[in-house]
Amino acid sequence: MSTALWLLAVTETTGVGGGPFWGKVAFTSVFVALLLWLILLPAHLIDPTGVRRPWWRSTRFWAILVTSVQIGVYVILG
Amino acid sequence: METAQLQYLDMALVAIYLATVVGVGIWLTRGVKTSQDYFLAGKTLPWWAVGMSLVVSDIGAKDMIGLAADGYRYGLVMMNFDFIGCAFPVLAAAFLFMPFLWIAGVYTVPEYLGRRYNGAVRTFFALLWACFMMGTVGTILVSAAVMFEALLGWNFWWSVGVTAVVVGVFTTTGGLKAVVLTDAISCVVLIVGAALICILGLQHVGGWEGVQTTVSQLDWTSHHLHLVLPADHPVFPWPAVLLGLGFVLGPAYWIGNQAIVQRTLGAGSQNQARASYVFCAVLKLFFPVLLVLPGLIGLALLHEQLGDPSQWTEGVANRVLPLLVVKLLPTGVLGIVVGAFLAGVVANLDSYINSASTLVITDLYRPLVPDRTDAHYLRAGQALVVVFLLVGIAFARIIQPVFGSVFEAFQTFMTFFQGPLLALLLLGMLTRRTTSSGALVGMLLGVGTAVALHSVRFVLGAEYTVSYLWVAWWSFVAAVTGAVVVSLFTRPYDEERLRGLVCWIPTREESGS
Repeated sequence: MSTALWLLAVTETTGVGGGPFWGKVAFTSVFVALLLWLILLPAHLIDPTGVRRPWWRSTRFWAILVTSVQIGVYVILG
Repeated sequence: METAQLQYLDMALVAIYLATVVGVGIWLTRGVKTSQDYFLAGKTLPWWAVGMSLVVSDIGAKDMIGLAADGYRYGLVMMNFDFIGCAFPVLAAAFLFMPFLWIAGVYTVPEYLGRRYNGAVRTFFALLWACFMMGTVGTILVSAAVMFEALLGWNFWWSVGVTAVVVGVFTTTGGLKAVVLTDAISCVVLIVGAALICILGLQHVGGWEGVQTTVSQLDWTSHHLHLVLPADHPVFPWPAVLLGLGFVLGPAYWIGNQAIVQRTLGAGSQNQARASYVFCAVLKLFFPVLLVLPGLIGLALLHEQLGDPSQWTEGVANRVLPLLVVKLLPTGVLGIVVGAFLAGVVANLDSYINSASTLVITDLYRPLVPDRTDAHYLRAGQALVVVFLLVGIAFARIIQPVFGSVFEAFQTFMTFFQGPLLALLLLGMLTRRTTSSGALVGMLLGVGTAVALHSVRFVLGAEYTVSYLWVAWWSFVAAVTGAVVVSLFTRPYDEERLRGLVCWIPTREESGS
């Protein structure tokens, strides 16, 4: 969360992006919250069978990747 | 009007696409023996095909034309429809909501609502969805007609006729499996075609710098390069985008839309269904660029011809992308892009028609005409596909002159009941206290609020128009409020009745009893 806020502050002061600050914070926060939820979600709730899969076949990994990209997009283009 | 001249190579490419889709679709009709084969593909669909089908069920010609026009008009803010309006709800659906529908073993979203609440809620939403899907089929056909007229000079009836015949041939007999697997082919063609428009367009305008230069020179494009617009922006203020699109319209679409949910219910397992949603989210990272960037390229290339959008007359918005295609694309590439447009139309249309048929048979026809053979419901579903196509064509003719932007029309349809639907789904899945009386009151209050807010402009004048994003948000709030208040004063269902339908009450297998 703090990294995302720091990035927001940097882009604000350097003039990258340029949308309203609190709007950027709000949009980014939604994805940061989603990221935390995806990281903390217990494994048995994702796959009740308990089968361990390699990272590239893990739906959690790809979901985290998508969410991270979204955070970057809103920080830079917000 | 300037139209594209298809050369033999272009026509050959379009013909190859059409022949492949129709051929694969007809070939897949062989395996359809039961109504579950037809409506849920026998629960055998692979995750990658479902993921691609989810993408093209959402993105069709209406989005290609509408988002390019709105990209020209408003800029990058339109990417929010695929970012906050898609990635966030798709992932929430994959990990939180989809398992309920899967475990409940339902065919449709209203069927889940019927089991969770009662038959009245089920029937109400089934009727609403049937009307919505009819409207959607109409908007897809209008998009096709606009596109083919601008690109090829075809008239309305010829465009609609060709589209309806191509889709009808395999959707009628092949069911969900034919729809999903032909959608996967269409998804590839759509991505290639849209990418070619972006690459050739950027080459033509001097890259991204060329777009930025044009935007900086015009006096009506000050917000075009921002995703988040000021809170006082007249059309897309960020609080309305976040609350209306991100928290209501997006989740309602990805969690409650029958055309979307039905695909995941046809996957081979719950894990495959989740993987299909996540694959869709990965693919959707690229679509905002593929769909909105052509609008900005159009701005750089066509701003002297098309001018300031605030001065546009009816129908100009829908010409941005076709004009760009005609101006940019050489022989061969034009064939691929026309194929991509066609893919968008075919995939979008077959998805909605197949889902509408499933919904009407499962939620309206079966309860009214019970105890018939499975073959009877299968034949009824196939006949309904033809009926939906014909009604969609009639509806397309009616709405064609009314709506300036096809995309706006689609969003307007959605906002009437997306907020209440999401409220009932969330309260139904996440709380055991919500009752059927609460759901009914919440639903009526939510839809009533949406209708009232939409009607404001007809009563007080156009300057009092309420943004559809705010309509979605406040109808959701009204539905939640009504459902919660009435539920507190009515008797809840017992735990056994809600088993497997509510988040905190596990199925018998999970609880070990």
